[in-house]
Amino acid sequence: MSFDATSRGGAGGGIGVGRPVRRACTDLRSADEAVSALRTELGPGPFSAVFIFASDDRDRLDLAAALRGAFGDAPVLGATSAGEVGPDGLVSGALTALALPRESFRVSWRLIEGADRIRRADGEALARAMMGDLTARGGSAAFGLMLSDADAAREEALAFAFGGVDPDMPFAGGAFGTAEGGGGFVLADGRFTPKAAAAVYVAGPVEASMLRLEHLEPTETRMVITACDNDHRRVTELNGEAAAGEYARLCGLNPEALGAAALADHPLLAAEGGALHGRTLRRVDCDGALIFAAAVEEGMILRLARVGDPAAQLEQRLSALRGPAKPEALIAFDDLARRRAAETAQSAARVGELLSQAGAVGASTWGQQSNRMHCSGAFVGLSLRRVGLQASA
Amino acid sequence: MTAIVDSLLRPGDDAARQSEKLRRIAAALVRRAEAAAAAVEREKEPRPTLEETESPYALFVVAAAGTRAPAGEPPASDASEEARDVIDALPLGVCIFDKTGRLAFWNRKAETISSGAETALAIGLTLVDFAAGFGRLRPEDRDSLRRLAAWSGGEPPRPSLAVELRARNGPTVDMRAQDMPHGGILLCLDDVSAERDALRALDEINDRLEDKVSERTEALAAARDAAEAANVAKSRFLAAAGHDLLQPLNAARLFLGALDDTALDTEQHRLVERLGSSLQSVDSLLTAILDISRLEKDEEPPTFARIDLAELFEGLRREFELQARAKGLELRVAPTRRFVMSEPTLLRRVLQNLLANAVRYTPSGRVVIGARRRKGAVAIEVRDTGPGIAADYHEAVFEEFRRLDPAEALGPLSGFETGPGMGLGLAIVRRACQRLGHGLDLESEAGRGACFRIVTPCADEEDQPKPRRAEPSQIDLEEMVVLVVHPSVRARAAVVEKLERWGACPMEAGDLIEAVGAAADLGAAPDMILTASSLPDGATGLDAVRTLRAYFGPAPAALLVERTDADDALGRAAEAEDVDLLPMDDVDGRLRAALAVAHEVRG
Repeated sequence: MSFDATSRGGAGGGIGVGRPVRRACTDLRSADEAVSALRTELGPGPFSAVFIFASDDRDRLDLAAALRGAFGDAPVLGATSAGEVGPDGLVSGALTALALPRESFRVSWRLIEGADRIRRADGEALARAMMGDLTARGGSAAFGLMLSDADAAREEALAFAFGGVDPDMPFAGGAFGTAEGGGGFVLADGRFTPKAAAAVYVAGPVEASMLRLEHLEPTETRMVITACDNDHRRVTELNGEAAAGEYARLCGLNPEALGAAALADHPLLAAEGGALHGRTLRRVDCDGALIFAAAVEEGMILRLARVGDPAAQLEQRLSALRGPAKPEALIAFDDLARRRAAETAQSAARVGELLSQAGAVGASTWGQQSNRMHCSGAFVGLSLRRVGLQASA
Repeated sequence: MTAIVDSLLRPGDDAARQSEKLRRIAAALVRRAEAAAAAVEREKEPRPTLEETESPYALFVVAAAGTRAPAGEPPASDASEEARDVIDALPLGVCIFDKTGRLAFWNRKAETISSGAETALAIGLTLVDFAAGFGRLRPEDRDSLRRLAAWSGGEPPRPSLAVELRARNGPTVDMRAQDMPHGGILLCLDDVSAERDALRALDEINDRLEDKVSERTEALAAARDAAEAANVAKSRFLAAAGHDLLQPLNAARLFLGALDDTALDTEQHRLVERLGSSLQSVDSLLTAILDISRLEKDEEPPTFARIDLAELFEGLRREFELQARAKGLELRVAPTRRFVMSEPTLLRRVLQNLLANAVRYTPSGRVVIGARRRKGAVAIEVRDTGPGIAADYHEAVFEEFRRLDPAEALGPLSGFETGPGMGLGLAIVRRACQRLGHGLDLESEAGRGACFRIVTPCADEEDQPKPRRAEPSQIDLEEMVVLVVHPSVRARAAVVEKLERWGACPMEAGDLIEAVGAAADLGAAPDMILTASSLPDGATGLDAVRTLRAYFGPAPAALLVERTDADDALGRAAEAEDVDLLPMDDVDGRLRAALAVAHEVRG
């Protein structure tokens, strides 16, 4: 509960020791009023960065205009989301925000436009430059973040480049898009940009630890990708048959019935790096191709998974996290399919409550990055815990 | 293991579709493994030595098997472990040759198929070595090996290769080889023994059936040839014998003539006359036989010419008139303007035979010859009022030397007389019609006379003189037989004149009795009945129509009425019997229309 007090008490709270991170949430529809409410809740700056996740049913131009100059010269970074995580738990149609006070944090960030065309080598060069920039200002990265448009479909390369620049640094990210499987917009530089990504490295007096949860249990039902378009993560053929029809057959469904709920109820797993990882289906294309939220390639073996209850597992892992010193904030990227599964299992409220207690700010995403890896169907969180150091202002 | 395959294949797929899908799945898995192995190899610094990894496939295989991880390699990942499990579970033999062409990996099914074919799989075998271990018996197998060797010798990328090998006492194996992107070869082995056995069994059944069919065909052909040969021989014999017989016969008749000139007594003279008549019979019989054999023997197609039927009929009338008159018969020729295409001598011969038959077997009444237009052709009819022929014998009368039992086949036998050639006249008619390609049919029943009909092609009418017509007309009445019943000769003549001008073929009758007689002469219902509304002896026109229809079958009919008797009662009565009313003073248009309708009905 102390985290709630921290973030909510922003207006009166003093700057300094023990209060490094602030968070806020509003469901006001007017852009000006919503931004004003966020400012009040986050408290006076100055901030080294403000992160905002805005529901994708809002007017992006109005919102971008309202945000301009709202937090002084602090960069405002974020994305459009289909479901937000904040102090009130799992919400929809809201704005959630997280602010890093300038006296404690240094931030190095870049907006990557045309992220759908980025090559790994370019990403790695950019990541090294950003790290150098941070070091030059006397900091070393405590953690990294990546916010990207799911339609850019380059999360693997981005995670590999930006998450891999320092193997010891926790790195988390999310790919944003609509609940129907469409793409999202990345907020940076005062505007919302499609097919973009924002990379951020943060130095500060926190110890970040990765929290990665999967709620899928493999079955023996397998399918082999026999034809696909890697660049667009489109699988056109499974087991030598048209993809949607074969997937529907193995799920015991009518191909006509492959809507968002059916896709969430029948998730897939792929073996990768010594373990099985989620391969969330974003949507079925009109030509019967399956659009995935993570990389696919010919010859990949997919397994049909059973959906577990996300709440029980989350509770167990979060209580383990608390330990002697409680984390101050949890930056959360929760898979859209996972949120649907929680809704189906009627445990969404419980999940929201657990996340709220853990100080979570974040959003529902199509695929998540954890360190060098991108997968989908998971919950990825960065838990921030205060260390004794106090950065100078 | 089975669970893996269960989800990969659809239960409803046929064997060929299953194999195709398995090959695609295997190729996808192998391509991915190869790419992964190639990536590992690329990143190794320095390059791996041959001892470490002979090829990307060896790397993949080793990593996948997880048994012998080369120094410095990451342990087998779950991904390749799972890929190996799936490949191992496939009911399709999978062999991978590395880019040096050496066998590096195979799955369980490949092992099963190879041991069935009594050939061994070993690391380092080439594709050709491996295939050569299979059966060498059949010529098509040697061809398969040659194709495989040629393919192996080719430069990648090659189009994928499909060959079939049948091991001695072992399985029939469908082998497909294809290049992999990183230089290796994927070989898929499919045991198709069951399918091939089924096909072979089917082929054998087919072969046996074909043998039987061709045996039977040969037997039939031989029988047909023998029959034809016998027929030709018979015809030749008849032709030769006929000629040889005619000469002594002619000599005999000459001698008989000479004998008749000598002084003979009455008795002797009578005997000579009888002898002459007998010789005459033999002569006509022989002539008929010769005609038949000539028709059979001739292989040249007949030469058709345009024949004016009016001319032909006139000649026939002169020829048979005396004969008919001698028997008290009326010989009628219906006027015609038709021209037909036929062979003049043969057609004349056909009609001669038909008329001779009709005159011979008709004891009293009429013999009529005429022509009718019929759908682009012309039907020449010879009708008689003779005893008729029962339907059962319509076929038999055309057979050679077939003498009908008169009691059975023919109707009332009054005046029936037999004569020489009776069994041959109609046989000649049929053969001639066959040879000319003319249709021939017989319409008759016992006691109702007979009508023989020859259907000949109509000759081009462009060069025919157009008959002069009273008015331009769209329809040609084409020898429609129209029976005109009217007590007034003048009225009758007026109508008949019109009908003749229009090309119809009118018959006249003054009263009901004459009308029935005329129709009886015709042996059928006329194509149309035109009758006055009242007839002599208290009969009405409707009575005449009813009677004619009752005796001779349905026929279109019309009442010729004066305006004065065109009352409603008559109109209703006529309508009730499907009879038209035609006012005499407006007869032209209405009559033509009525005739046109009747013409349509006749078809």
